Amino acid sequence: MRVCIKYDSDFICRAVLKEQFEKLGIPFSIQSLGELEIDQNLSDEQREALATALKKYGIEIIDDPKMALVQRIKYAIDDMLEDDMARIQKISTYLADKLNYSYTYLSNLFSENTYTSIENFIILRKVDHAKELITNTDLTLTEIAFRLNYSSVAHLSGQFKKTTGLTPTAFQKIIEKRKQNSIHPA
Amino acid sequence: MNLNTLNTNVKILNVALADDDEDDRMLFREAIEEIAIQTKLSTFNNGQELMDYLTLPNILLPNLVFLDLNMPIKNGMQCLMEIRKNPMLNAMAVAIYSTSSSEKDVEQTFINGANIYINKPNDFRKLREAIEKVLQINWQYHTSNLNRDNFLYRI
Amino acid sequence: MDFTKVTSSSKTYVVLLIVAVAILLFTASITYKQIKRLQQSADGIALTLEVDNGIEKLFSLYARMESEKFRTILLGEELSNSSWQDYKLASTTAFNDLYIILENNEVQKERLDSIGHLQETFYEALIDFENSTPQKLNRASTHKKLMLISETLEKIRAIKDQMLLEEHRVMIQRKVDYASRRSLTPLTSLLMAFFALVVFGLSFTKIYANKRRLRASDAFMRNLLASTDNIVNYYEPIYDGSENIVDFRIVFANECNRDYLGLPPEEIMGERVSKVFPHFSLNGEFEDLVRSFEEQEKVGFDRELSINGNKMWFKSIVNPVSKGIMETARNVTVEKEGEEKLRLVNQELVGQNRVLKDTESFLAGILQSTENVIMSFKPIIDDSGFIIDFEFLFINEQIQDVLQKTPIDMVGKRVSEATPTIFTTGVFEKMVTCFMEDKKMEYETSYEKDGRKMWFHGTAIKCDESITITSRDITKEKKSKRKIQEVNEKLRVQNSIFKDAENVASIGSYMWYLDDGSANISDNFYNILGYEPDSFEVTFSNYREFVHPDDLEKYDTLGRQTTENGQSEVHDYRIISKAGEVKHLHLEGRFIKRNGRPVSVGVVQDITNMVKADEDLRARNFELKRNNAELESFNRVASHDLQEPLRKIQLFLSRIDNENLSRLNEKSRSYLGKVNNAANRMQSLIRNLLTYSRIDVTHDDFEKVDLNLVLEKVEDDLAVRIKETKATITCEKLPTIRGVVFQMEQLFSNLISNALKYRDTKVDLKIVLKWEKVHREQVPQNFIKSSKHYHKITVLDNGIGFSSENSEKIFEVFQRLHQRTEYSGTGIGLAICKKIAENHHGFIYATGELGKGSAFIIYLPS
Repeated sequence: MRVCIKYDSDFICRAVLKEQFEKLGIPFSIQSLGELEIDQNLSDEQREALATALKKYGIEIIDDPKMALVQRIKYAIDDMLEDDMARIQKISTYLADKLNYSYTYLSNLFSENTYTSIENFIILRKVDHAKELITNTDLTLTEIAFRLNYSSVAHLSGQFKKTTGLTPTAFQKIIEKRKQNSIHPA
Repeated sequence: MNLNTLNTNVKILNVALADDDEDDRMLFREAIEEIAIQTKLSTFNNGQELMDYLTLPNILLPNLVFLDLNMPIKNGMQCLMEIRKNPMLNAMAVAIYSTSSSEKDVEQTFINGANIYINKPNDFRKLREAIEKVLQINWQYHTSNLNRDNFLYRI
Repeated sequence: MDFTKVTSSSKTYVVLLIVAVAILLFTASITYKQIKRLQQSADGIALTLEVDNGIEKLFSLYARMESEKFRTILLGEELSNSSWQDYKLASTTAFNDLYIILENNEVQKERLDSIGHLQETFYEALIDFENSTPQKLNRASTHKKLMLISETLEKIRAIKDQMLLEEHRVMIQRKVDYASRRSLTPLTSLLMAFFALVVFGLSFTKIYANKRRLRASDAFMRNLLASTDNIVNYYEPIYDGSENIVDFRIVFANECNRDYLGLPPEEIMGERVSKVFPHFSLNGEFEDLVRSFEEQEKVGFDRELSINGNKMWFKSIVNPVSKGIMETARNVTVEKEGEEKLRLVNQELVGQNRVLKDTESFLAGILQSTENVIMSFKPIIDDSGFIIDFEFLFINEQIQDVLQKTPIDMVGKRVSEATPTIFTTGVFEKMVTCFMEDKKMEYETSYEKDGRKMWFHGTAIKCDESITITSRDITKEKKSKRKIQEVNEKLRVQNSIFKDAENVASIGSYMWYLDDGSANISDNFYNILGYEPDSFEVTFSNYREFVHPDDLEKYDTLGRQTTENGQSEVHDYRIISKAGEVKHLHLEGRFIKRNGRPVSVGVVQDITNMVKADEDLRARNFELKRNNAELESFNRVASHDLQEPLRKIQLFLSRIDNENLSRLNEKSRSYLGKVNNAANRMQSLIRNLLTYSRIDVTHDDFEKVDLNLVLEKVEDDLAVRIKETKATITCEKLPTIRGVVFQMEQLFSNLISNALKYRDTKVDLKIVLKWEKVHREQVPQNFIKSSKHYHKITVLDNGIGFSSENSEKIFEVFQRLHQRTEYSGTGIGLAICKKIAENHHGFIYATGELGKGSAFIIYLPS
């Protein structure tokens, strides 16, 4: 028997955090996904207990402030891509404004820690979004290109091909055949 | 305080390679060692060896597995299908590493759940570049909120 | 029988008769009126006389009364009172009588009234006079009194005169009246009577004449009926109790009944139709008779009667006639014979007419009414007695239809002028011969009119010193003749086809009696066996000797099953013919009963050739499969086993980095470089070969391919080299086709690579792609065109080109036009293109000019 489920990872994450923090009696508030505000200072034991509890759910506490910032850049990029208004701005300005660091600093930090540039990551993100739309909607490539702020289908196709080594059509075909064969790699 | 819902703290990437060709295994190791991304490579002489290892209890599963297609005893395609059928192994990314440039092979492996397809290059520099690219993109899929269902990459 | 036919003239007479009677009646009434009036006039006259009388009587009484009074006075005697009273009474009576008579005459009455007054005065005067007289005889008074009396009397007389005068006038008027009426009345009556008499007389004679004619026509009709060839019968209906017609009675039948049907008319008359002509009860004919009678319509029958063994055809018409129906039956048998005779006579006439047309010379009436062109010529003879020309003496109107020239235009002109063609068609010579030798000449000649060829048959006859030519338009005859020839030819061909059909199809037919095994087989069956037709009697058992020894079991099964069930599951077996040839036969039999005997009829076909072809095909298929398997294994070897060591060579070569290289001497470095080149070349060879062999002909993976995207990708892949060579690629919008994506990519990639490779280094490379959709018919190249429309895609370049004699060669595997050192390449690229185009049911070819450029044209199904 196969049961299909639909889930919101964001929602699950919030639920897990709430449950675990309440278990340990630590009051907290969620700033944005990936960042929490804890009113009190945590003792080493509390911290250890929290890390152990969260690890079960694949959630880790990032100690390295640089890595934390990289993560914040990624979230900021996600936010920007979600937001139609933000999208029209230049990435550099947007990120600098949002994170209160110079773009050069952010850019260098990002490249050092992720083996890729912010620009490349944005492309990767956009292509990932395009993949989602290709697999989960009936939108045409033209519509997807428009939605993701590409100047043309060719532009989208080109970037898609460059990033994945496949054309959108070939990609779609593979995903469809996978669905038919019920193969779901994760 | 910062949290990461994904496995970002992997400093060293665990990589496995199954290839029956000794030279290829050697050159692969030489290439991967020249790459900035820190990796730990385990090599296997054929598919059977790899699968035997992967199904051992209490092992650290590799993040990425490179499979040659043409291997004795158990070929790459068989390994791929076994990995995708096994819920324990399903989370791994699978890269096909083959001399075949046949479109049919490429499509078939992707359909069967491969994430990456690399043609074995005939130039060492190209080999290194290819592996580097694969590791980078795999890194992104492991450290960012990208949908791994849609992880397809071909060099 | 009543053959009365009211003619319109007798109708007129009946009308006239009625008019005459009306006139007579009118005349009588007029006469009566006249007499009535005459009587009135006579009465009027009598009345006048009576009035006259009365008046006279009255005045005579007055006069007597006056004289009586005077007498008494003069005599002085006592007048007896009684006589005076008598007079007075008499006058009053007379007066009253008069009054009665004049009752209708107001003027006279007035006058009479005034007389009445005067009468009173008179009486008084008389009495007064009488009384005064004896006593006082006063002379003056007496005189006065006397004067009064005579005055009054005088007045009365005046009135009397007036009255008489009046009466007299009335009298005269009435007399005139009377006289006129007396003379007029009898005259008109007489005239009218005369007229009526004349009309009566005319009517009578006419009606009498009609009646006589009727009697004559009746007699004539009977005569006619007796002498006619047709059966003429008259039937009257017989009703049943409820007024339905149940039968007809023969009232009249003519002599033909005896002649044709052997029925004496005197015997059948009075009989019932159903008894005499029972055939009426068939085919609803009786209902038709009833309908004819009841609805007064004409009914016709066509029927065949058998009389005394002779079959005769009758055509009957039934006509409703007054109280019955009349059937007229015509013996068509005779008529048909007559018709045939007539036709023959007519045909003879037509023939004669044609002879007449040819031989009759120069009859103007015929000339103008005929459809033939008739011309008369006078020869023009030169000094030495040769005819050099002819002059038109006459030509009829028909020439207009042929030459669009009127006879007036032609007459007097020379033939050389008007119709010069006769000199070239040989007609002139015929005319000369006709004239010189006095021989009837016939010829046929053609003439072009409005682009149509018209044929004429001409007959030339010498006539005194001229010749007459009758020319008949035989275009239609010619055409039909030609058609008949064509049809004959077709029939001949068809006949021979039918004759040969069995032979050609290697089919024979048989009829096999299942009860005793005897059989009849067709000529070609004998041929199949290698024997002359009918050269021996065939039976199931002697035929068995022909059967191939290995198939005898089959044959026996066939025999057993057919005998038992009428059919068999065995359809094929082999025979050995007389000449020893093994032949494969296929048979299809069907079971029938023939004259009460069980028979299997069917056809056998010599399928030896088909079987052999089948075997060949199977062998070739097997061969092909084996080849394919070999090819597959070769592919595997090439793709993996061959590539692997090569790839290793390349890989390890690439591992020798610059640092290591620099340690080697120059020679070694160059050797290593050559090893590298050779390895690279071998790799590309293997790759191309693989690509070539992988383009298989399975079409399961055909999908929609947008060639624009394909080209985009190709340009992308070749971007570096395009940039290097500074080539420009211009492209029209390309279509979307059905095909294999990567093959299309390969195709365009190879073509563009080709253009890049064989560029002219002196000029900038321009590559142009064009597309147009063309109809199958517009594709001149010869390949199997399964589609109606094709995409024609042209790849043009301005490179070094090639000479056109090589345009086929370049598509062959390993065919190179250049030294390897000049242009690198494996010599497979275009062969791959060709294979891809063909795999897509298309076609590729190239045209080129050395030093100018080349064009590769691809046709792909639309």
